Amino acid sequence: MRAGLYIVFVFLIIISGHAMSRAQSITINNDLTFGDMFPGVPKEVPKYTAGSAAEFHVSGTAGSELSIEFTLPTYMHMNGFNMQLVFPEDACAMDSSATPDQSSPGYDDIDPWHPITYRLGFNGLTIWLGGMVIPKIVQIPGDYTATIVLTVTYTGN
Amino acid sequence: MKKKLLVLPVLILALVLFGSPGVWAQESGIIQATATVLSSLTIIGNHDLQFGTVTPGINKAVDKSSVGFAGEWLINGVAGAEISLDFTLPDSLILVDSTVGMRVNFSSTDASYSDGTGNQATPTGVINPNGPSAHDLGPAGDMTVWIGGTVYPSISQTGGDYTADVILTVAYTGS
Repeated sequence: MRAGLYIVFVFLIIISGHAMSRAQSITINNDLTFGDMFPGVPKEVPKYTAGSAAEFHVSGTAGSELSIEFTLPTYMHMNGFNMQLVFPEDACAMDSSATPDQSSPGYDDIDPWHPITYRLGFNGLTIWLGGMVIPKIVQIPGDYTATIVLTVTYTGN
Repeated sequence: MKKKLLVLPVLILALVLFGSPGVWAQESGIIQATATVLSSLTIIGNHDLQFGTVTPGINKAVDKSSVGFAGEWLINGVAGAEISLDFTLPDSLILVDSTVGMRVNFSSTDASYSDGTGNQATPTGVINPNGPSAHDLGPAGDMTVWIGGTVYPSISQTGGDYTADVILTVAYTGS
């Protein structure tokens, strides 16, 4: 009887720890917003610009290592028309400190085109992404959109 | 017996939870990149710069305010947007079907514009057509540009019809 309870107890501990590891989640704090654009005039949104740069917050087990991967579009679209969208190789930044600072992030100039490995802090991890749009001189007016996907995975380390 | 009853569910749970590691550990977040493209610029050459009949040896000027003779362009775009204006000016008018030229010159005050607050006689401002400049479109998104100039026919200027292209290129500055 005691042995059985012991096994259950150990297992609950394992489950408990496991359940904590599973608690990772991504919160979308801000879309990547370029606002109004003139045809023929490229526009950049720096990753440091609060309210315009994309912002994700990842929460989970503090200290856990994550693999972070973007799926990035190369065009924005509207009714069959497209507009070139560029993400430079330093367009991403992140901060896992207790007080994330978008203007001076702890880990800066990251290439969003390749998987990134980083550890969650006690307050999780905040990720920012900037980009640039290059409208043509005769770009058709209207509202253009594109989807950006962020996927995070525990590495187990 | 009781032990067995406890161990079995433990094993089943362990298999369920640890049987496919990695699947549970992935999370995705999706955002949108958004942008609103404003209307494009349009420009129409509305009136040619016409010097009319020119007498050999006598210079002839057309003022930018001279209705029906000055060159005129009509521009339309986003209200209040700043645009750059860049003239490509000829240095000579060319006799049709020949290589004979007649000198033409554009002074630093030979062009003007209205953003809707002026007219050809009293424009909003003066433009130096010999270099690029930037001005704001009017409240309705319109701008009219006029240009004058001076031709310098030689005493022995060959008779006939002379022409040349005068090009105005406009673009949003983004401001």
